[in-house]
Amino acid sequence: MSKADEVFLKVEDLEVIYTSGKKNVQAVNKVSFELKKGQTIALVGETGAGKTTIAKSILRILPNPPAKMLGGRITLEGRELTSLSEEEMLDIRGGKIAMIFQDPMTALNPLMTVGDQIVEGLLLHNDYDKDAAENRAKEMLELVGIPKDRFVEYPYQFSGGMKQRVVIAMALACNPLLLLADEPTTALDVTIQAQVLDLIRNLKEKYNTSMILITHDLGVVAETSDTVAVVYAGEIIEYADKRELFINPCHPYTNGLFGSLPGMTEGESRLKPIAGSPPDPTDLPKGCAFAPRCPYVMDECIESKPDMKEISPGHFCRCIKAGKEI
Amino acid sequence: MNKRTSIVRETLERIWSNPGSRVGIVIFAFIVIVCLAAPLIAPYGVNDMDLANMYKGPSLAHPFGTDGMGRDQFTRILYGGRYSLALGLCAAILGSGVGAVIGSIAGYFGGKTETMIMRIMDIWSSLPSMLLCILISATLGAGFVNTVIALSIGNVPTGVRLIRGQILSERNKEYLEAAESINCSTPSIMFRHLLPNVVSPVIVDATMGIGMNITMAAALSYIGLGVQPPTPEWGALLADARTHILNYPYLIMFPGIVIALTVLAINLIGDGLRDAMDPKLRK
Amino acid sequence: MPLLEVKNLKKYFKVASGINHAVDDISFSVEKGETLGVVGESGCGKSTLGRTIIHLQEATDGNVILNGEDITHVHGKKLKEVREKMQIIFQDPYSSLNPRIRIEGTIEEPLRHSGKFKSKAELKEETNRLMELVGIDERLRNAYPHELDGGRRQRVGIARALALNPEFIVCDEPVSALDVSIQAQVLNLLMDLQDSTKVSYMFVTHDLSVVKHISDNICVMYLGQLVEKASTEELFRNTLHPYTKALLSAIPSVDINNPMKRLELKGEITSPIDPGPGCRFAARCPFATSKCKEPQKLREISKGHFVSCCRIEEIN
Repeated sequence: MSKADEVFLKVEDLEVIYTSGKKNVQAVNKVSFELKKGQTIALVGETGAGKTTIAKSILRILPNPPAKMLGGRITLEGRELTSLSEEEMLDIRGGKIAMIFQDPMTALNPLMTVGDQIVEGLLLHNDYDKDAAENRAKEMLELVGIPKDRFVEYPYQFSGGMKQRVVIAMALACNPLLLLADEPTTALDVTIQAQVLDLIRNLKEKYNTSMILITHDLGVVAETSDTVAVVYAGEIIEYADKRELFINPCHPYTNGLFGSLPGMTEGESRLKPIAGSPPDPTDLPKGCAFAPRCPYVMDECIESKPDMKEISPGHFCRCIKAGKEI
Repeated sequence: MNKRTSIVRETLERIWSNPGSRVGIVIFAFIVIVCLAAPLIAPYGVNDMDLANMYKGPSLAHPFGTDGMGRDQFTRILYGGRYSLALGLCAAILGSGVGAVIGSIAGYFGGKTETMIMRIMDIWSSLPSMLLCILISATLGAGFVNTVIALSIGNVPTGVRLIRGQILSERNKEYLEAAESINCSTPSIMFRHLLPNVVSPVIVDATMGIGMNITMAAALSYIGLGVQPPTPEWGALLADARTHILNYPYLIMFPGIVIALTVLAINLIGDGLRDAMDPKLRK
Repeated sequence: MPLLEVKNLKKYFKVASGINHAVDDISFSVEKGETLGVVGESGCGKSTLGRTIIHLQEATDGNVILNGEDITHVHGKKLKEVREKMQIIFQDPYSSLNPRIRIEGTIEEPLRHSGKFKSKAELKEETNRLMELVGIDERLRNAYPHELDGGRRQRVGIARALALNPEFIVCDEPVSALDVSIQAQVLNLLMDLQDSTKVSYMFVTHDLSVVKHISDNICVMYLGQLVEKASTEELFRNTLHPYTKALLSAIPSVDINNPMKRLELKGEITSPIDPGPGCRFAARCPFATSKCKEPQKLREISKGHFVSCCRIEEIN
């Protein structure tokens, strides 16, 4: 790591709440992370942990109300995004930052040809004329492995994996600096998932794009990311380089996730799941959010929220016992 | 979570907690009670004529004025409400009920039965409902029962479509397969599992239909086909007053306001009912 | 004698563009207390296979034999008996429970239909036992399904399936809609229940790591046909069919020190509507030759290990 070492995206103390009726839901609680040029950070966690909310608040596409960003700074290449006007954000969305959504079936407009959908984004963000944009769109389709003569076809003429390729082509057409991929392969079959993951990885290398990958699948994380942030109940509870996290997981929740994976516990007849269910986001525990499910819980865990501790260079963990012997 | 409450009660509580439908319920309940209590409240007899006091504007003695035969307009509106509300309610229940049964048959059995029923409904609903009402009223003759029949027939196709559409979207849900795999009988699957999950839009539609039927009945009376004078149905009151619209506008104004208010109240309740019966919105 | 034998089972559907060969000539057997994993991608007919076996759909051809008795075409009282012995757990815990029936009602229903419980007290006692068995808190008995999270709902589904003490349960992707930590809880529950009741499972899934964990034997399906069948140990040690290999290598591995070498497949799954006579996987297979256009036979390569591919000797 030399010149690529500069921090490219910085998220600091991001805080988002959802208001429903009289209740407030703390969806994202003081989340901070950094991303270097060309690198991938994976946000891992279960349904409702707040992963997607983090990504959407970077793009500022959260519906307000009910969502409200209470605080935090998001800096992209030294530029503060949270204070930009809506017009300036328009330029960033789809241009500098692009997003790939989970469900390729609903992310495409069924009434427009896939070609036109790619062209539309290109015309909005670049100085292309119509012909140049069409050529670029065809080039993008070829790049994701779709013959360019399918440019004039409609989404229903494509299969699920093909649609996700189109979505990827759309996202990458404007050469974004940052790609937000929200469970990009969850809706796909395993063999298609493998194709799409390989494709994303190759394109990322080719264009040196940075990526925030949102997933619940530790296997996808292992194959695709450089750093990992484990998200639980709106907080990052562990944050480390991928190798470090997979070899020395520190937080009991991260350990629990690994214990829950079939195939990790070779030779043992039972998995070691985490007990209980994720907490109710409208009624989070006062102390550590994981305390009610934690096998090592102590009185201190219930009384106050543990701080993020750096247990080895670059490896952060939000647990009282972090760094100590359990 | 562990306290057992009935669905009906829960639904009622949720309608009440919706401000819009609460206003609707208060207005509607007031109108219904006042109309039912007409003999107690009404200052005059319904057909009492007072030829000395024809076409009197609103006053303390006659709050809504009097008509061309000196009958007290307030009294007639109170009594008329009994007919109008009963007409609306009966026609809505009858129409939606018949529609729901036909629609269930179409949705559950599918195939040729369904195609046939739906084509008939297409033809049925392609006739303007007002025209259909006029045709039926004209054929059967005027009168309360015939008006109910005429009005309800227009409601049938909507009920059929609603129920069938609901069943189509519900038919492939796994809980019905589950019911089959644990040996539920066909009637049990239909009535215990399927019907409660498809019936709410029809109930909502029927509620909204009450208001529609009242206006429709008023329209029928207006052209002389509905309930016949001297029955003081609201529409009939309007019809009587139509020749005097320029000279005595209050004669048309008061029944008009009452009809509009009733329909508004019912629509508010219907809106609240739709939200209250959606299981996804239940907390 | 195996508990369940399936012989040359076929299930065809008529669709607008032809005939969908959803399940095409499938045979296997399941012993008492054993788990058979059925693996394949969406559209391979694995769910239809399960539903056809337990009579939610009528078989087009072939036989289903339970305890030595042919039950392929049974009706009325006999069907009722068969259904009490064979149950199903569904994939989607959100749509497999009736949203307007309380948890208690859902679990109680099969008991009532069986007619084995005479009094209300007996019913209640049995419902309590089932709830405890699958780990649902007593206080949830009057809750509606939407008040429960995915894991608890799936437990309710399991309790309903277990209510009549079945001998065979089709588990149709029972954990794929659940979060990882909940998934592990449910898998453990299913395995504990098997230990205590000796029930047999047919575990239908697309997830090879789950199937490896829970199954004794595995069938790999592709477009309605069996492509490979072996004991779990044998299948993972000695993977023969190119499709199974591709499927195995496609799972993103959490073992970051030994990333799996990927066997890339061309294109995507084709359709099982009016398929040609040859190998259905040939269009995507990196090893396909003209020989693959001929019909393929399921061959026993070693004891209990069946493969349907004419080129395995050359490619392995």
